[in-house]
Amino acid sequence: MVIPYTVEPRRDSGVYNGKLGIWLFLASEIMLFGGLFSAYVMLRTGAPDWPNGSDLLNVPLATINTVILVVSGITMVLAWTSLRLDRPGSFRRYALATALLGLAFLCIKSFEYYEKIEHGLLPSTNNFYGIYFVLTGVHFFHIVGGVLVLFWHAGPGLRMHRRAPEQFTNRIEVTGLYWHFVDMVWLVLFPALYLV
Amino acid sequence: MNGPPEQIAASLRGHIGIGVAVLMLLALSVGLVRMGVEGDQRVAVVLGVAAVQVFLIAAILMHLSSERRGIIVLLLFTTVFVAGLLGLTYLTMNDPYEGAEHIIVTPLPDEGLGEED
Repeated sequence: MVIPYTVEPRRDSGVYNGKLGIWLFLASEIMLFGGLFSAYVMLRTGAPDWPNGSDLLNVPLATINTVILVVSGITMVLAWTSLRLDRPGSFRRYALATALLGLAFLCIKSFEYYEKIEHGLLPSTNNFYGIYFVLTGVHFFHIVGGVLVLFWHAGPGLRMHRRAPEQFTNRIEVTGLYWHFVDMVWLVLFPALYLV
Repeated sequence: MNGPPEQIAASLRGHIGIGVAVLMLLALSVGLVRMGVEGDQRVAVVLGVAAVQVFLIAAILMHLSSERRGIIVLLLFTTVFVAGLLGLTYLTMNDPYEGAEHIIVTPLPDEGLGEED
């Protein structure tokens, strides 16, 4: 049995199944992060006193993390473009680079968490740290998911390119959409938590 | 999807350019905070820069500017839905209507229901 519309677009939606599916998923993610963000806004505006994130959090480390994620967005685009130019070897290098950059982000974030926990600063400490750990923690696990998918596609998953190159390229396109979305979320989280 | 290599290479250069632009906006944001922009100005500047970064990534790297109408409608609906939910939450905490009656529910007095004589 062959699953239809993995490459050719559906007549009703105008896109292939994977692309429609990822956009529906990203719409639900917008609601998830939108809800968490609204919690942050409500807590902050309702509090008589709220600390400046730049006084309590490690802004230089988070800036490095932001640079890492933006660069990983570029390597993700390079990976997809390599497949469009039918260069699977080049794709593997860029996909691995993206995954390793994601891993670097996770390591730096883990170190940030360790720093806080070592000083007794936990989610239960106060509302600021509660919302900080929740917002960045949910984002952290999204990066974990993306890194796992990238390692899969750069490794065993690449076999698909030999028998169905267009379908595989579409898979990388939707993976890229997810990765850019997670990148975008961090670009909002970073200033909202660390800079204001 | 697979156009001529020159076209793909040109679009790749554009995408890399967007990535560089996002990095420069990041430097601007952090730089302004380091220079001592404070208060509401700081909030407006950093969140404004973040909005531009999000727009660039969504429009160019995620191809939303050339995406099908159905996808755009889906995302518009999502945005309106989320904004509505945020608005409702905001209204429960900050009622803008002067003189609005807030109905306070008080528990009924205990009438000794269930007591045995």
